[in-house]
Amino acid sequence: MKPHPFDYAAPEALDEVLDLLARLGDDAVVIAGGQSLVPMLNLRLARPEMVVDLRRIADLATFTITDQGLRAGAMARAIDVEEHPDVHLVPGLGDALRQIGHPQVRSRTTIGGSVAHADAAAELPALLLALSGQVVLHSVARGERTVEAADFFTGPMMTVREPDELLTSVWIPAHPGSVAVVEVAKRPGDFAMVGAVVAYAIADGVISDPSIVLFGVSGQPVRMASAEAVLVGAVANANTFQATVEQLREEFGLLEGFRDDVYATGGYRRQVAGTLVARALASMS
Amino acid sequence: MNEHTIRLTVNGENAEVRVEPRMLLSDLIRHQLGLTGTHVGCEQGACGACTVIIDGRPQRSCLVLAVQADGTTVETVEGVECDGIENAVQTALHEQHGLQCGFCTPGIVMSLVAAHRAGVPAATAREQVLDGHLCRCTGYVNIRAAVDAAWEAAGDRRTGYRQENLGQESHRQESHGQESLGQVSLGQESHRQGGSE
Repeated sequence: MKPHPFDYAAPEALDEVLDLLARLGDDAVVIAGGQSLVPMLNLRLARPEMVVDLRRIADLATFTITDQGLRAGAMARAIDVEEHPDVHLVPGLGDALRQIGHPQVRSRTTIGGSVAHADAAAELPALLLALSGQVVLHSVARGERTVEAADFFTGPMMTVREPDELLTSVWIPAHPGSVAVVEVAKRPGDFAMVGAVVAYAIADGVISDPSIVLFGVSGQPVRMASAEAVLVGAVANANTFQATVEQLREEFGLLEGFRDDVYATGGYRRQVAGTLVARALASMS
Repeated sequence: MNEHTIRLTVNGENAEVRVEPRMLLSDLIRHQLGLTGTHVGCEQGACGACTVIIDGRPQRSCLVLAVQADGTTVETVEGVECDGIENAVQTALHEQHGLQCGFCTPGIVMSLVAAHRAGVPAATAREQVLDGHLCRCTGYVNIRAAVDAAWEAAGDRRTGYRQENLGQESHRQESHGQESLGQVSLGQESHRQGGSE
């Protein structure tokens, strides 16, 4: 199918974008890489009055990676970050990026676009949540505001971003320990049926800063707080990991609206989530 | 009608066209520029048939609005040179029977050419680059063999081996009547390589 007709603007200044969003709100949609939006336009799942393209705003395409983390403008492309020699400074970032779609999609995919789109099965929102990242939003009405990842995602493709707001940058802090990003999909490059981001550090012989996020299992990436709690202060060994996985499967059963669909039953996802986290924990110790 | 004028370079030629914002790059390439070698399968980024090279990167032309391609350099399968890796990929797909109906082939050629130019090793091209392409005929075994053969041939070219093969390739291609692919530079390539070594 072909998209429904729409108007198009590619402003050269951020202010022009914000003015358009202030005027049009929900009737406008922002295009960054377009790898999720254009399929939705083609399928007419999205029928905006105007598509606002960020491609001419050079500042938005910049990113910096330090041992503190990744600061990515809304138009920073996944492939450019993935291929950056310093990508390893942010543990888990390279692994997350390499599992997004296919190389031909990552050529256009943007960090900001993926986070703003907030697909429940996407890698970057899950990584952002697991590493306690931040999202920066701009609008005419509210100026600049910074939102914690934990507050940003609210449901399937839903975030706290208001219709007149533009996601301008994303901050993904470097975790002090190691980070694993694992997923199971029907085929490589497909959206994950189940995915997990697992992180922890070792301090004084015991586990600190644990983080376990599942994606693809419910309407948004979810932090598994009670499973994380099992890890805090524990020794990194098989017994600890076993107890963590058992708690994770318990917690999964309590998730609101976990997915049970044509791709996989809820029970299958629960089982695989435990297995993925077990593998991730074992691979990191 | 709400149209935009865009300028882009397609296969080395400058094009200035007027497009509706909703026109996909794949449709611009096929319907306005008449380059029907770029195939359109799913129009949702899954099949890879429409893959072209934009500013050096392989991309789905069905997931790019034509207006977004303003100012870019686009390569389609029609623009693929017939020397170096471009020839190696096409020859290998042919020799290894890496295609049957051929619908998916132009996209695969573009992805593999871009991957080889970017220095992607054969194993990665075989696993990750081909992941982005659906082929319903071959079962992929022969396409994977073609990747290995193409990379090996391109490697041979660097060691000078391929030059000996050029005469044979040229002869074989002529015997298959593939001049329509525009393989006119083979002799020059052979000569140039000979001169440089």
